[in-house]
Amino acid sequence: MPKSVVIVGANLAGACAAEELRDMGYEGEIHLVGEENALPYERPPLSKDFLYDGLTAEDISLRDNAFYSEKKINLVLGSRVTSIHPDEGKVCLQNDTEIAADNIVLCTGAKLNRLASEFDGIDGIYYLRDLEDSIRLRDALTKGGDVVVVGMGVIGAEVAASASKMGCKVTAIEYSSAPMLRCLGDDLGAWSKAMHEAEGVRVLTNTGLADVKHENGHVTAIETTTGEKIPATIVIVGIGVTPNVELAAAAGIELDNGIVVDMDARTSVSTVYAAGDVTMQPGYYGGKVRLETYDNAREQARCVAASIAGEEQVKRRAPWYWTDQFDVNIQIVGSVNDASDLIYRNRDGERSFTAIALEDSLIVGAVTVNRPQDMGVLRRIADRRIEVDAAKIADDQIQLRTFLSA
Amino acid sequence: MFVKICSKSELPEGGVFRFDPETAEKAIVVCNEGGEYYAIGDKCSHGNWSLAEGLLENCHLECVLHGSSFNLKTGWPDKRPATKPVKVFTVKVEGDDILVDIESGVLLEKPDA
Ligand SMILES: Cc1cc2nc3c(=O)[nH]c(=O)nc-3n(C[C@H](O)[C@H](O)[C@H](O)COP(=O)(O)OP(=O)(O)OC[C@H]3O[C@@H](n4cnc5c(N)ncnc54)[C@H](O)[C@@H]3O)c2cc1C
Ligand code: FES
Repeated sequence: MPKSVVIVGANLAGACAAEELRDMGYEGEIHLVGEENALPYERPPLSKDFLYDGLTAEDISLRDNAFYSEKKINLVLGSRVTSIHPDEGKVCLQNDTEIAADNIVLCTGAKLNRLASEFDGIDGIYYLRDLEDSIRLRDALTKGGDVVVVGMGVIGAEVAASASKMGCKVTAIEYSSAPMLRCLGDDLGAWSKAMHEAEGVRVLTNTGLADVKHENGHVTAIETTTGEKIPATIVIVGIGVTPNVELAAAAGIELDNGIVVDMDARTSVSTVYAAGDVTMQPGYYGGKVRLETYDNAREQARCVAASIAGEEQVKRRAPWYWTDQFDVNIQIVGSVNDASDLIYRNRDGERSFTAIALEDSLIVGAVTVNRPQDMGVLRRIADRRIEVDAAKIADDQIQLRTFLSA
Repeated sequence: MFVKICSKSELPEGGVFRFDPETAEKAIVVCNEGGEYYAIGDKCSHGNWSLAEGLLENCHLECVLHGSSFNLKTGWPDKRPATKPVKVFTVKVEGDDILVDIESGVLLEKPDA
């Protein structure tokens, strides 16, 4: 077993990997190095209850300080790793220190895509990835104002909902034809638009950002690609992320819109592993995928730990995530994007239903809206690749659980 | 105080049964894992969600909201976001009845890995 493991990036994937290594009985050194100053924390609340429910940094910490010392995890915060040297068995930190590493685990996550640099430095433009971003945004939203959300991906849609919940007037613009299109596909994308509109968010689809107007250094309005000028004091930009691959690139590790890993989370260099948002991995339904989800970071971290500690790998499961917007919990397994027909069941109004995409009797995707109990079962059906009959699964009279014992 | 929760026929193998004494805070979930019965607190230690909505697998009950899964024997989650245990209750079988001592709930120490 390796004597020393250095984990680069101290957030969800990194902290889970460290913890799992100890849980699996790994006794060597574990160094968990992160650029951020805060103790590793949960990001999901940053766009939700952290904004509107007055949570503190402590509330969202993954673990307290004592935990890391108890587990003999050397947590090095506020420190950027500047290069990795798997062949020499070491990593270098920004302050010129080096740490010996038999294995290196890259959990560097992703960075925000930003607007063109001409808009840098304009007061009132916000991005959201880190704790500090969320604190700044919370202060602004608490004071209130006219909000424009640029980009209605999952994070944009969540922030639009939170800002609206906090009493701001919210307009959202989205370049594609619907919010969360990549996750929901056309039909459910249209549903999501209607849901936001019913809550008072003005949603402009097929609309991009053309310009940001400002006076005395503060944003006053935005102009859309359709020529509309929308007053704004707060502009929140959610236009996706780019994986942090620089360290891997410099070390000659194979890349493809992320760090390429195999089923054991191993990179093209055998002593280097990677987990979380930064990875490009074999897809559960074939091909390669980069997943930006909580569940993936948690599961892949476990996979890394098992590889290093020589433990048995846990069985892979279908990709799954959730999002909360207003009073709606949306959960998604697989992908419903390519489905020509969705099967709906358990529909009780516009805010409670389940939609399923089948391909050759297998579930390739499903979305539940305020029906997490259905998702619990659908995930298992997808995980076990159980064949289901389309007419039967459309029948509300037949309990979903019965498909598990079929 | 042992209370009848349900009969054996209401809790087949792999089955999950929610028992609500009076308040959701006190709700208990009873499970049949391979013919053995277990009872733990029903409210997920992460958010306010009923564990009884989840599925049973390998002696773990998985919360359907964010996927933490709780060990029925120890009450401890083996996956975040939950990091705290739920209570474990004493179960007994009398004839066809499954009973739980609803005052027996304890938070156990985390077992060594
Ligand atoms: C606002 C928000 C809300 C979300 N909500 C949900 C949700 O509801 N459901 C869901 O499933 N997922 C959600 N996610 C996604 C989920 O949080 C991410 O998938 C998860 O955080 C990925 O973890 P990670 O450790 O791979 O990467 P990250 O969380 O990005 O962490 C990477 C860390 O590495 C550090 N780092 C990078 N380079 C270096 C270096 N060279 N040296 C040292 N440190 C470095 C970074 O500073 C960062 O702290 C949300 C994400 C955000 C931003
Ligand atoms: S409420 Fe159970 S895991 Fe979050």
